[in-house]
Amino acid sequence: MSYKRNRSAFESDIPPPPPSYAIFGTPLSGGENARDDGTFVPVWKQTVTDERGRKRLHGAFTGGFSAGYFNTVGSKEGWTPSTFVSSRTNRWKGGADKDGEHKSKGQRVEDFMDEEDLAEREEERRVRTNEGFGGLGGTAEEVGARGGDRLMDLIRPGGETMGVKLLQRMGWRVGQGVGRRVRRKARGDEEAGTETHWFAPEDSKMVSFAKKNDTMGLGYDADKEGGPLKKPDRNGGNGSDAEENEDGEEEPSAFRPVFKSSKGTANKTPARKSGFGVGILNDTGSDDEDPYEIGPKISYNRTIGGSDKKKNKTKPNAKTCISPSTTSGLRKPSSIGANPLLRSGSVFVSSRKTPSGTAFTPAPSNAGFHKCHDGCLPLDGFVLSVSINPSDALNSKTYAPPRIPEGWKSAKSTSASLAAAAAQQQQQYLSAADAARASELNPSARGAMIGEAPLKGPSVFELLSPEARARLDAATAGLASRFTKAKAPVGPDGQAGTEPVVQDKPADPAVEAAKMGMFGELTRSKVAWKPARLVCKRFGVSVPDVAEEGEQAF
Amino acid sequence: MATQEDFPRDRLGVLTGHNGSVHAVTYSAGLAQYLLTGSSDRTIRLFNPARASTSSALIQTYSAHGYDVLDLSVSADNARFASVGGDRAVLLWDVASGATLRRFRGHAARVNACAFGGEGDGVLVSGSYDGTVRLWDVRAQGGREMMCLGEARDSVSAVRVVGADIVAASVDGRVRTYDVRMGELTVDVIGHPVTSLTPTKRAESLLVSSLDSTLRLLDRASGKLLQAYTTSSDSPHLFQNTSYRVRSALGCDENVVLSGSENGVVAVWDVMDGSRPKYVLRHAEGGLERGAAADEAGRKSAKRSVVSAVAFCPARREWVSAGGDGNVVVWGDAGGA
Repeated sequence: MSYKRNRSAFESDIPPPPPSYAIFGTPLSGGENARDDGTFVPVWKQTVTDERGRKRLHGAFTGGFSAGYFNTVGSKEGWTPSTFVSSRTNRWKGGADKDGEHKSKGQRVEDFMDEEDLAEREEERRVRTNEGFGGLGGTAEEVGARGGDRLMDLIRPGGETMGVKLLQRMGWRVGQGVGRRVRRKARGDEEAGTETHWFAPEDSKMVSFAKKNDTMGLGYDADKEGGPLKKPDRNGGNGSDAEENEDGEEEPSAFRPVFKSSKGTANKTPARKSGFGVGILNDTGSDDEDPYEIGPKISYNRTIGGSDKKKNKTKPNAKTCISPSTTSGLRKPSSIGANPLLRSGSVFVSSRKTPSGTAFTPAPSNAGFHKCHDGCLPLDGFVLSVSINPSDALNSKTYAPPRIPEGWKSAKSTSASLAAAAAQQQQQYLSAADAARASELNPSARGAMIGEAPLKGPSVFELLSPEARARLDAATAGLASRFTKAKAPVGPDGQAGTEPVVQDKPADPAVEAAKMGMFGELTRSKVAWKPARLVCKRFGVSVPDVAEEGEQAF
Repeated sequence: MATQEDFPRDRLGVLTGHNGSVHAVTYSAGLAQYLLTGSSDRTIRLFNPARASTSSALIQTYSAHGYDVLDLSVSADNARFASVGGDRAVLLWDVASGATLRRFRGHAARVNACAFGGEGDGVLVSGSYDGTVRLWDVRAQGGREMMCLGEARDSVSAVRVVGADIVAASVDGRVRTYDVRMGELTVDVIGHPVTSLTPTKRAESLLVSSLDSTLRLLDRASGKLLQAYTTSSDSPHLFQNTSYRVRSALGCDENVVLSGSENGVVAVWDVMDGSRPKYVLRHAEGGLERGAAADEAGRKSAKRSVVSAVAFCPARREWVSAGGDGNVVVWGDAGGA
């Protein structure tokens, strides 16, 4: 309850009690004496910029427009365009000033590029070979088609071999296979249709000589098998270990779980090198699948070391390594000891292998002592070769090529020797054309030489009818008059130079007359000629009444 | 009265400046005070022959051809002239401004000859190495071809328009006259490649040069030979024309026949007597150039010594000879005519 004190009582209260303020909010840091360093800016000054000082938050995809002045438009005055300032004089801000100092760099492309653009740029700088770059042996696709072999077809026989020529004559084309035609659907079209056609068989692949670096069996296809993990079982179910093992596949063990699919082959799961289960890429969209229901069926082996039943059939004694003296027949990878990860147990090395007859040598240094990859010695009588390089084998003394006896000549001739022989023969060689030119015989002489009776009777011409003869004659004459023998070559330049001296056939009577100097009727001829209408107009004459005929060239 | 030579044989001056052989010379129309020359240096020059051998002889140079200039023709009003050349072009020029008014396209090879014709010189006739004679409409905008006459079987070396007749000479040894009025083509066989045509003023005769070192004056109406001009057999060096196109002309009121020659001279005949040249005038001063011993120089000098064109001034006793050396010599009567 408040009461009123008199003034004196009020003023006598020294000091007056501190005013009781209700404090809201956080006090400013630095107390009352802190200077305004501009860290708190008003809303209209707050712009978001990135580390390079460029404005952010522009555009729908990067946060929304912060358009304009306090989210209004334009400037304080509203939507007024800024006045244009010509940069013509200040255009190039890079380089040195007249004082030789470098001022600001002006605008660079990099100013407008963000991280993605810069990364792309760096990517461009990296020099790569083009797709389809032709390295040794061809492009990547061609090399792949050959199974990774770069050297196989590098050196080919020059020209076409006889076999190729024969095949081509019989209808074979390069890239086709050889053999019976096959009936199949057309490939390449997306909608192949259902009709089948006859096609040439596929070309057989060349055996690739790629080195085998793994211990998988022959014909092992990593892509198909999907790795060392066992591929899905046909029969399904957990049991029937026995059948699996008889196929020679790896048996399951505690350390290498095997996954089986319960669906069988109807469900084609794509071979994967790693991973299991269903993924987004494997989603066929079938709603019947319940990923939780199926799950990978991990089947563990319940006995250590596998069952004895299997072992006795095929596997040798677990404990010992196969020594060369006791081996017979096939070589199988040896024992499975207590630890199946170790493929070999203890190794007994026969003292017979030591060439010097001494006892066991821990570190083999001689060739004969080299062990195979699994630690066992090679078969009796065999020696592991030191190097796998085939050229070394060729260079060694044992495999040297045979020595050629002196004075031996090859039955086949090289191109060089052929060329030498040809050069020799060239002087004696007479082409048909040369022979024809050199001969001085005419048909009748030749006839006499071979004892022919000379032809009697009329020539072919008389067999023709008179009209045909006349036609032939006229044709030849006409043609002949069109062509003349040029005497002097024509000068190529524009010089009023050598005009070809044209000699008409002497048969032309007009030319004959002219040559004799009898000018006049003999040398003159007239033909009807129709001038164009416009020409007549320009000449100021009326169009002459001329029937246009096919004109003869004179 | 001072006795005048019957033929002006004095060297009045030389018009120099061309850098190659001069293939064509023509006087201007009317008073013929000017001379147009076309050369293998691709230029056409307008000279004042009265100022020959002075620095002010050259009035104007026209350059538009891409190749040799092979023939020139001036229209009767002196306002325009036509030039043709090795670049297959037929150009119509304005004399005063030097601008090219028309470029007639159509020939397939170098154009050897041109001539104005028709009413008011509205037709330009050109003859080409491609064997055609083409008629061009001068008046139409853009240069339209009116007709193409392809009867010649070889290069057309000279064309003239005589009234309503178009006369074309060809290397195939014939002179063809196309009569526009009558609708007739007349073929005169000469027997040797024809290189030059000069009609007489009254159009009754035609002077024809051919490559057998002979000039012939033919009657146009009948085709008969009126006179043949050649050199005598015992002095063949006087006049020679067997390879190059050499032009001939009629002069002194058609009392003389002049022709250039391949041996550096101009041969002049009296029109009535063609057995041997009356005068043989050397075009170049001082004879052939020195040092012509080597083959190359010899060949060059052979071309340089060809007097390819002569023209007689229609208005006065003056004529010019143009040679392979690039000079045009003005001849006349010394002391004025």
